Amino acid sequence: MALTRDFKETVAARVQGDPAFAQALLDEAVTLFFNGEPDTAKLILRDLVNATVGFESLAKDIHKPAKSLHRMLSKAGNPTMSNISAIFAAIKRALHVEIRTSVVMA
Amino acid sequence: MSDQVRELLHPDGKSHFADWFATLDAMAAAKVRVATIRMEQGAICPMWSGSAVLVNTRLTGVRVIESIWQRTG
Repeated sequence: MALTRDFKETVAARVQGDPAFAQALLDEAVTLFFNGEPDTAKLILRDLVNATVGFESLAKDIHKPAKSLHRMLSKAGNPTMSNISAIFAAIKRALHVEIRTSVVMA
Repeated sequence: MSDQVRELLHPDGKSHFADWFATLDAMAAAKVRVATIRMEQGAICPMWSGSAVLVNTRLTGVRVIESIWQRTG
C-alpha cells in the first residue's frame, strides 16, 4: 500500500470540483507574477493547466509543442511574455473568469 | 530534483492532511498551495496546522519526513 500521495493530486481534484478555489489559485498566480515571484507563479499555472485544459490541449490552442509548455512551466522554465500571456488567457477561458488588476499605493 | 510535498497516508488509506485541506475556504486553500510550492523551492513556511510529508527525492530512494506544522500568529 502506498505510504504517500502527491499533494498535487489533491490540488487538482479541488480545482476540478471547486471553481472558487481555481479562481483563488489563478488570483495568487497573477499576484505572484507581478510581485517578484515568477517561479512560484509558473508552478501555480502548471497546477491549473494540469487540472483544467491539460498540456496537450493547451499546446494545440497556442500552437506550441506540449513538451515546450511543460518546460516553460517547470522550475527552470523561462517562458516569453507572449507565451505567458497566452497561457493566462487559456486558463482564464477554461475557468470562465476575467482578470482585472489594479495598482494601489504600497 | 527539488523536494516534493506529499501527503502521508495512514494505514486506513486516509490522508489527514487532505481532510484538513478540504476544510479550508478557497482563499486559505490557495494560500496553502502557494506555501507548499515555496517549501518545495526551499522555503520553510510553518504557517498552518496539519500533517504533511516533505519528501527529499535527491537522496537514494525516497526519504519521508513527517512534519507537524504549527499555526503561527
